[in-house]
Amino acid sequence: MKLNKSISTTMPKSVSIAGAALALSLTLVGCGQSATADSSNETTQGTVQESAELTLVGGWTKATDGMTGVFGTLTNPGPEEVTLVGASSPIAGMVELHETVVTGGNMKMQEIEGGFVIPAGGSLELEPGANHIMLMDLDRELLPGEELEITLLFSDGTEKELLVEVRDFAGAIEEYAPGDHDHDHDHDHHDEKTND
Amino acid sequence: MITITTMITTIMMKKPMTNLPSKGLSRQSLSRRGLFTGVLAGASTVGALASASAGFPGAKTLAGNPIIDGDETIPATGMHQAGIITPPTAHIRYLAYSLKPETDREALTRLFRILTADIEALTSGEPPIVDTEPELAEVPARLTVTVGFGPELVNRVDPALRPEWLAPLPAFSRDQLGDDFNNGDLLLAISSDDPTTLAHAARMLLKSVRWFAEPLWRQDGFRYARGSQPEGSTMRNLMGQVDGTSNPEPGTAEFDETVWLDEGWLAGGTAIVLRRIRMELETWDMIDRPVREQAMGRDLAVGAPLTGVDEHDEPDFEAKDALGFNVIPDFAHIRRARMGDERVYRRSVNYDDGDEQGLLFVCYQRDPLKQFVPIQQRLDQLDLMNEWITHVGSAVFAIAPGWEPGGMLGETLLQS
Repeated sequence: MKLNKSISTTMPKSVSIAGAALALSLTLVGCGQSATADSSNETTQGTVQESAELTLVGGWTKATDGMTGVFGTLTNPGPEEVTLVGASSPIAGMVELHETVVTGGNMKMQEIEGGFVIPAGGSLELEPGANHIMLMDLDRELLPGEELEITLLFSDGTEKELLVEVRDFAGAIEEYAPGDHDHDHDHDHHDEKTND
Repeated sequence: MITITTMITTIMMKKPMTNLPSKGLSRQSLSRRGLFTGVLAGASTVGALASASAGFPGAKTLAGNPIIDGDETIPATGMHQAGIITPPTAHIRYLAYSLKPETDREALTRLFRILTADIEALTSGEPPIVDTEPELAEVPARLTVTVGFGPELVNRVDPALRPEWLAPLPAFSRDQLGDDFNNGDLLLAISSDDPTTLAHAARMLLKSVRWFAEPLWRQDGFRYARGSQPEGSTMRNLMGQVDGTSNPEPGTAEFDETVWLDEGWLAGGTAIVLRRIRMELETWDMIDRPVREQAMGRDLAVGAPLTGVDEHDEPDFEAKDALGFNVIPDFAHIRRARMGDERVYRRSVNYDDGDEQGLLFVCYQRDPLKQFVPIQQRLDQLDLMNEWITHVGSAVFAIAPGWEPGGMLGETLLQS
């Protein structure tokens, strides 16, 4: 399942309208409208800049306890390939970078060797059922609508601190490869709450 | 995916910084089509754009049947929430929720943050961050989502912030309110010209809300389809009456004084009254056209007052017929409704539940107790239309003010 479609490999999509905002400025230049860059840029500029960083755009994580995945679009505007080699969060005892493999009809998550490679001037999607950052041993429950602090560590030595949105999400239920902890990643309790 | 058409939509979004109504919406449509040509002609100067779009399926729509208005957007941000004075769409769904006991002020802050992000995304034709059916978000079709707060929601933040009028309406003698369509803690009014878009937005928002609240009721309403009538026409209800004439005009001082609150956390907000009015069509069917027109005080052909020829002619309540009787009878709906000075801004829609048809009467005002209630009290006492209509549901919500880009729904409530 593809959650977020990139505009192109060089134009990663931002939270909601950043992609459109970028396209907007291009289009306005292109058709020579007099109604050009006006006050509405106070919002669009921020997102354009954001998408031009080595970062995670549109980052979010599933509201749950125990463990959760972080998703979004890793972006690399630079001329060199960069690898996301690790991540951390104040509330997670352990963080791993996971890939999802389908074997024998089952979807399994496992730690990826070598991290997530983000091509030069490109992006990499992290999404449920695919690559993601796994936060484990959470010291508290994550609630929908809060913002979670995470830090990304890249192969060029840079770190990026950012906030990701915590969202109620029914998917992102994955089995772990055998030998891992007990990862019952099933529906969390708020689903029970909502179904009563 | 960003297609050329959605980019052009973005330009439209850009023009009105607020979602204030613009009579120019139809003009915008025209200029949008102009932009089509402009973008294509200017393709060489936007090389990146052109090459980026060339490979997308959206480009095909340029060669095939063009999208007519599925890509049109109404900005979610501005001084007022969208969906109140923005052009009415063909479909609307009113969803009321009951807050869960544990949804406190802190939880409401999280809920408002989520709703803000979802509403801004959906109304701009973009999937919200956790949309599992993102393709369904690509046709905004003038989607708006208007959020209302019930008394309990405001109480959870601070009971002192609840206006006196934010409460169930006083009972009227003819009310036959059932249990199904009354009150609520949170209201989402989701409006679009496309029912697929609306269904997806409703599902998406339900998934965002259900941690905090449980569905209480749902009411679906409709008007003529987009393009079936000239934009701005007064709608017809299912009794065939032109319904909503003599409304204050948005942008006028009269409108502002009638609708928009101007102090406290609700400055820029308003109050919505939603009455579910069942039409007793079996008995209405027995009534011939002259009596139908007498009951309303307007003709059925164009909605003109019985003393006039055009819909917007001012009724002459003093005019007498040859026998000395009032031309607009004493029991006529419009006479009874307009006997006082109170004004409200009506924005009703039809409903059809198969076995039952009627009107979702919706009006906006600063204070329902001072505006809607006296009008309804007069109608409750005397209005020949009462023979064929029954009020079966009633709800009042505070419509929070709008928010600017970067801001958040409900921020003034939380900061008060």
